[in-house]
Amino acid sequence: MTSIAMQRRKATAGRVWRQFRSSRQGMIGLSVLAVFVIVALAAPLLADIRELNPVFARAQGNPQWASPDQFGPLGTDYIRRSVWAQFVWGSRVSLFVGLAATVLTIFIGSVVGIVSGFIGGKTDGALMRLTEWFLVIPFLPLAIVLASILGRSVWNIIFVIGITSWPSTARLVRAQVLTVKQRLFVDRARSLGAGGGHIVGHHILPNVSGLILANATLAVPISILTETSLSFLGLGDPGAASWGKTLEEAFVNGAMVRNAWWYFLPAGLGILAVVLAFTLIGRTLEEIANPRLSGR
Amino acid sequence: MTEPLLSMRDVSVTYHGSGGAVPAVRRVSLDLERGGSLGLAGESGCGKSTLANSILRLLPPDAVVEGQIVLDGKDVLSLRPGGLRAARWTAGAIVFQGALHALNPVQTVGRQIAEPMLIHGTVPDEEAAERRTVELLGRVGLPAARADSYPHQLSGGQRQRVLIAMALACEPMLLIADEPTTALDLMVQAQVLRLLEELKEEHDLTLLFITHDLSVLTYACRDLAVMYAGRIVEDGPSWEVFGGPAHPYTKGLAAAFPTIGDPSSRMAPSGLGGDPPMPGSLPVGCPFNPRCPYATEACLEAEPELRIAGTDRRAACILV
Amino acid sequence: MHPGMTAIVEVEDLHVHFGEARAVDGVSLQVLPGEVLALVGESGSGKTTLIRAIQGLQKPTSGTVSVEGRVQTIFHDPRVQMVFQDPTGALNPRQTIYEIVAEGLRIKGTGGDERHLVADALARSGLRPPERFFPLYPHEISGGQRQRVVIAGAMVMEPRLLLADEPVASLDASIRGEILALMRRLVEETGLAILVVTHDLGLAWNIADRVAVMYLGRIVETGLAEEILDRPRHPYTRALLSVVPETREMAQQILVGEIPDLTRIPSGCRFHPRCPLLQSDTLAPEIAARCRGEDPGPVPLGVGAHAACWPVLSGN
Repeated sequence: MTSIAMQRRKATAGRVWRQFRSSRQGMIGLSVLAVFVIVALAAPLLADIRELNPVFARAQGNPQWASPDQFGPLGTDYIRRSVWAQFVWGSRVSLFVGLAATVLTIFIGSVVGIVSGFIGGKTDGALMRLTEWFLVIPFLPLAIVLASILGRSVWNIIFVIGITSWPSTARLVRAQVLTVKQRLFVDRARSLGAGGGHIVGHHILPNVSGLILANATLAVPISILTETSLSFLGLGDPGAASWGKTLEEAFVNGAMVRNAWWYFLPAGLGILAVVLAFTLIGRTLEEIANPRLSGR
Repeated sequence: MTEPLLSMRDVSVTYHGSGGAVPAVRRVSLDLERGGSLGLAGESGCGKSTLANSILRLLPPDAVVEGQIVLDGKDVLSLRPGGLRAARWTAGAIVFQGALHALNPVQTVGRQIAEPMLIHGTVPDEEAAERRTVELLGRVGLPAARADSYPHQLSGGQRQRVLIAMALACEPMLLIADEPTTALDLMVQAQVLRLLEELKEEHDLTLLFITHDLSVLTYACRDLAVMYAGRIVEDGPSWEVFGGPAHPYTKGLAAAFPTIGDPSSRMAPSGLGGDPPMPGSLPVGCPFNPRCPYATEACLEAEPELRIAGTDRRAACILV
Repeated sequence: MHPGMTAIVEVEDLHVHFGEARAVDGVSLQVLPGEVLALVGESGSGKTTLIRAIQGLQKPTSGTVSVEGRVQTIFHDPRVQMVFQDPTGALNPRQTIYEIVAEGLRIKGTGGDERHLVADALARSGLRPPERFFPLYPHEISGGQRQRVVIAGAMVMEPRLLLADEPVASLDASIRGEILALMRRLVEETGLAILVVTHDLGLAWNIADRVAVMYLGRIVETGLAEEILDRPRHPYTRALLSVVPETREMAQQILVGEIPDLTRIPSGCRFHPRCPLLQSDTLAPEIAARCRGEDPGPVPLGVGAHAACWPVLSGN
């Protein structure tokens, strides 16, 4: 029996995909993202990881501060490392941190939002106070404090981003849950004897999942930017060559003054492109989930 | 015979939306005499509200209106914007359904009643508008103090009265009431109907009343026109149509409103099978044939025109 | 109607208060197997709160609701099922018809051939062949069919009582008769009882065995449908009937004003400030005084005819 339901679900997914395909902004976003995902996955094929090591770079006889026409394809930095290798391997770290932090953000935000909205009452009050508390704390100081307490590692960065950026998701999900909870089909399920778990699983979640997905795609760029900011401030993982770290090192070592544009531009444009791609995809998904948004 | 206040000839309204052309009203002709009252009955999607809105050209931009609509001697479809605005308030006025949504929640109802008068310059100044507002409220049975209330402070019946007062502000000749009593309780509905009846008498109003409730129309209007799939399928004097329907659709519709005390309907609810057709995909032949208990081969061939079904009565059915 | 028969639902002296508001203020009623009881009232009469209490969704302030002799204490009783006014809102747009109808079975967790039970419930509700409807979503069927799905989803639970809140008010008029005929047929075929809440007296005439009229948190008149609708005794029932457009000639008695607030229930007879009988000055002074000063009390438990009105009670 569930097979019929499965078939219908597939048909629905097919319809969403067709709608997505007909959106130009969505397809541009998806194509750009696809390029970066391929670059990240194919990093070992595109650049030798040893190129990130200054000792290896020196042994290779790389020049210092070489421009792209002197050392291909993107020149070298102040300690002779290939900028191309940093760009390729940095895309891995940036995308991974962005996605993982988003998963954590969305998970915490959705759980808090659903519990708060569905149970209501005192639980709702307590959770919303907590959410507001996190919301009003200036994000950067908190992140800096957490990052310096926890130490500088990729996983800690993910944790810091997750723990600081869930409140807006929680509020959004809660608002949607409150709306869905009022719907008559929830009353119907109750009158059939359904408990809270059943109602959340069968009625609330399916009706807020579209919003959660759209919110997630919009949370990824924020996570990537946050990672960049933290790395730029010197709080990133010293062992992981993320785009943010590249920017930080370029800045600290005077790439701007030297006009070594090849050093900071690739990472900067990479961040811009990925952030834009996720934003375009997220907006398209939002429009499909909520047709009233389109045309505005 | 004098010229009717409202005369519609072969009026068609087609929506050109993203889903292609959807004919909502198809070649409707009707006359409404001065001082008369006509009830337009039909189910959701039959085109009755579209038809009513076409009279004052209150349709969305993707709607194309064909045919001729003459209101108080003016050809509505060829009016320029200026003349149209004047016609909207002075010749005809509309009382919308959904009394809550038609009112602005952040403005007092007095302000909302006064506004059209000031816009159209029917009163010289604010003070006169205020006097007139109080007078209008009194006419619809509301105390003057209600002018300072906000819509949410009023009950459903009171809001409906405010809407009627707004419609009366510029002394229209034709009052179009679109489902004015639908969301109201029985007793409040009766109050509003009584009010409309009194206003009609006092001010020599002409009334076009639209609702799905055939029994209300029969009570409130002298004449009745039943619409199905964008066309009038039966019209004539209310009590005759309701009491002895000629078209099978009217029969089915009338049976939905049983006469209490009539033994034949006791424990015997009756209605039609099936559902009203979608305006975008009408059945071939008579659009009612899939639901008609009397349908024959001939009904699949052509859509019947309205034909004489008694004195002042017409019905679009080959059985007539 | 038969003495000694166990009522499916018995509500005894039920009160539900929300702060100052007495939404249900002393209601007793019985619904017997195989009968349709129409609960008639305007908005603000407390009828919605009453059925929520019967359903177990609203905790009573005092009084009891019992189902087949057992007092309702649990939150939910599968023997009581609901039919909603707005079938479109009552169906989750992301579930297929099959999932919707099977939902109750899955929650209850009874074994049996689910597919067969779902098909049977759909077919009994007039959706044939049922298999054709299995994979459809609510937006792919018509309004009348949606209400049939709601009924099928309730019937699959084999309820003893169906609570129907304005079951045809949001449907097109021509479909109304079919849904009502379906409800009547289910009563006759399965011995089920239906408590239908409505403001539509024509509906009561169409399908109800008995009628109870509610005003401001109380039942003010009850009796057989023929008695109530043909020979109403309580002045409120009379006024209501007089304004139904479908009634054969009857002098209209349009009551002034609207139902008072449930927080300000008038003393004496709760209807007296609007009562046309009292206003007509034809009552004997001592009766009129009682109307103003003394509560005629609630309608007693049972299926007999009763009107909570002093002039009626004193045989006037």
